[in-house]
Amino acid sequence: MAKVASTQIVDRREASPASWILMVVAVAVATVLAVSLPRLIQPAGWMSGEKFLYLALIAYLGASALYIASLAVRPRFTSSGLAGAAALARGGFLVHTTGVAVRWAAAGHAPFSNIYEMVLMFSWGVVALQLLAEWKMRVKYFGAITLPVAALALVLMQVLPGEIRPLVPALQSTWLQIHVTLAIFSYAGFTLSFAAALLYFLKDGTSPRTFLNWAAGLVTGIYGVIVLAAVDRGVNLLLPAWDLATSQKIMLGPKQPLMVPVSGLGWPVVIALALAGLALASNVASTLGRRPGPVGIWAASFFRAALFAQATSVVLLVLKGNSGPYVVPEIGKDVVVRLASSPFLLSGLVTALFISLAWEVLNWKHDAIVEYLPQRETLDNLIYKTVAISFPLLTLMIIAGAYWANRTWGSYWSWDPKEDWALITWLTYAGYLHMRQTRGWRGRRAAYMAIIGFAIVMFTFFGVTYLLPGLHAYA
Amino acid sequence: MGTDHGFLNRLLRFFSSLKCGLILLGLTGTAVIVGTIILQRPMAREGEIEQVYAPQTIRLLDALGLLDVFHAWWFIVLLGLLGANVILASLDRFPQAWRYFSRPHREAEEWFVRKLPIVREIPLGALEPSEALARARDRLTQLGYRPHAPTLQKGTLYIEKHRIARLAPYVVHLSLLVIFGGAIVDGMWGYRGFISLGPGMRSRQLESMSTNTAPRVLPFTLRCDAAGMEKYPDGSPRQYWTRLAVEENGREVLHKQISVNDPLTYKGVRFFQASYGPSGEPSKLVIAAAWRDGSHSPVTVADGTSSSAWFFSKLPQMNFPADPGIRFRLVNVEMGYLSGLQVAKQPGKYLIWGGCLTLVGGLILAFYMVHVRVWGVIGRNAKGKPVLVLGGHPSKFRESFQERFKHLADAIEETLRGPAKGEREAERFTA
Repeated sequence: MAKVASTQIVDRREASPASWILMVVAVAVATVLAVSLPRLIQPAGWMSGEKFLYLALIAYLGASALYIASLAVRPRFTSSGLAGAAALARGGFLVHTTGVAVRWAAAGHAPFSNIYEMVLMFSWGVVALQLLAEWKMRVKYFGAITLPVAALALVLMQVLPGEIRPLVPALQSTWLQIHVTLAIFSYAGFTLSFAAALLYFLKDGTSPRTFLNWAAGLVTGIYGVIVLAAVDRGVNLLLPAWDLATSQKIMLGPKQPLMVPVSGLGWPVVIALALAGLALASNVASTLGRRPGPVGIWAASFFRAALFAQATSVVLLVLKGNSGPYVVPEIGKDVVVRLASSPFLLSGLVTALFISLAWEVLNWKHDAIVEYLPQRETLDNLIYKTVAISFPLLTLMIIAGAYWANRTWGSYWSWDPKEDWALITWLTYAGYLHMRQTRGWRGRRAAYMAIIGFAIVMFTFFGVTYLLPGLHAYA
Repeated sequence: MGTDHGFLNRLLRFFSSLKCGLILLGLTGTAVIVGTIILQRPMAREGEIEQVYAPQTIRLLDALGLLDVFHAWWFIVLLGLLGANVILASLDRFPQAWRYFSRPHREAEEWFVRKLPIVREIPLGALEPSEALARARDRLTQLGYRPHAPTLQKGTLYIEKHRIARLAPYVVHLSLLVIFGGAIVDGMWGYRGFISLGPGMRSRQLESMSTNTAPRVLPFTLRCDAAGMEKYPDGSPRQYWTRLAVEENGREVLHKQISVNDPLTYKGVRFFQASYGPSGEPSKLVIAAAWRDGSHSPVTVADGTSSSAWFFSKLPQMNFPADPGIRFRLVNVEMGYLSGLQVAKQPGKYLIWGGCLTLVGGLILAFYMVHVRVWGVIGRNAKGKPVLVLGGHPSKFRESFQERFKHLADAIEETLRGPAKGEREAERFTA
């Protein structure tokens, strides 16, 4: 019954969505190009490595699109599409490596000392392991997920403070290099297992309708948090005020930045939330109703409309996020806003956009994708293998960090938030590895565990740095 | 087991189960999450907790131990249960793994080989069985897989790699227990503290890091000879250093210049450069005194006499006319600097780092090495022709093993396809 319903939905929208997606992707790529091209033409920036990163970002975005496309339109396009995607990924990786090397040479120390450099290296590690997996394990299809993650990391980097600073005393240690290298490779390895787990769910027969529940839920959640936290009564988006002199947020008190209402940005966010909420509600109703009625079609239409509202929000945010001056009566002077002050906002919006596009692709070519993907057991084994390779690295990373802390502060474990979350990550994957010993817990439950584990890895990586600061103040 | 042991038995079986382990992992993880969300007393600033939470909330959180999760009794109990689960589960499963390891199943019958997850039949062609086995042995030895000779004598080709990987889980779990043990030793017999020293100062008193423990006295005296910092051109700190000496019974026994990441160790107590900053007191004052009437004869200080005077460096007109006729002027003030040293004694550290080393070794055994076994026996195929039945079994990662197995089987097939050489090979095999 459910199967019939999903094919009907696919059949009805055979023709139109393809052009819609192409348009949205084209708009997104054009935006990125428009933002990055003027900076690319200027001569400055090659020596600090930034320009190479723009080029790598463009290559990764192209590779992402090709990977997803070759997964979706199998017979005509697959082999040439995959070859093109792999070539773009390799080219981007070379440019990315050059960028890292240039920055290393310019700074005089390995790029491991702050969150900007960590994200730079994480993205590099993800692509490195993706290429390694392609070569060693002969998996072609991971790129459809890992390359977007790498590209997202590079987008996020554009708003992080990237200037080169000298190393503070505590960071001048070989153990830092060991600790951070291990962290990057283990996190990148868990990204591969996350990719395998997502593909497992696709193969496992997640219908576009079930996926829409998750996607609409996530988008509603992200936009809900944004509206609750950052949209005021006049439907303006509140962005933190930026001090150009110090390149920092202007703080009124501890954990209390000065917020500037930016008009015209609130409405698309609220509309996107409303549409995503409607899509979620009607899709849940249609899933519960178990009858292929018009409600399911409405859900898809709402969600597609929400996709456009999201695209508008992102484009407007990129355009208006770097603006000013704004008059703020509280401090009696004009301030500006910078995208750099809202990495979470931007990454939240981009993640929501990516999930929505993924649904669009799935809705369009669900059956082809499912047919093309390898067997469930193979994917389950790939999740296990990538976790099994990354887990010892994670353990070594924690040990190297403890050893380094002990040489620096005389204590190997301080229950600092970053340490705690590394421990939580470790416990989660230890749980996964034990679960898999029992045959009945393989497959779906194990795949859920891999996805939860990756979410925890990302929180340990970014979330703790911003939300729970402690000893790891530098990154 | 009698019925009165039934409950105890079931309890024991539950505590040694994987399910119990997973539940405990989940509970520990949840507790750690709670510890990062609720403010923790050891990490919070003075008065921060009182500012954030209402008094009755604080009373409730304190009663539940949630304001200091990582030192709460129930958290320690949770870790203890996890340790007990690891011990019980290992005791439960180790004997079987040890049998697997110490008495490997080498000789096989054809039916056993055919039941293995990966099987292939390799035609013998014109070869005698003994010659075929000898050729397969030579080829496998060339490839780095030496067949077990006594088993081959009995007619089974048996190769294996990394049997030790079977013991990996026990190495890992034992290492975790050793690390736990080291942490317990540190908690019972170790201590941590803080000393602030300026140049020329001596101390044997440790300030404690937490409020509820008494200060501690070191069994020797620490002396600071000099301290300072180096800066980058932009003014940010590059390195802090302190020249320290250890004195015992008034005699210097050791001295070292420490810096961040490079501590001094004496009798198991380590001193770390933790901070460096102004002490708030001047270390050097240079004052010029001159006769008020402008005479150039020097002002001398009479021995044994003292008097006090106030003067203000920025506002000389406010200076007290303390001693008639003398004018004081402040030439230079150097503020004193104190070096902040963290002090730690960790008698459990050898257990901890030793445990970490074996833990990593165990994980490498567990995940980067696979116990693979291949058996080969002479049998007959469906048509009744003699074949070498080759079967393989990996302890994990079956898909990558399939490739290795195919590689080995292809190599054997190739070597068996060559023309029969007859007696010489067979002789070498029986010799």
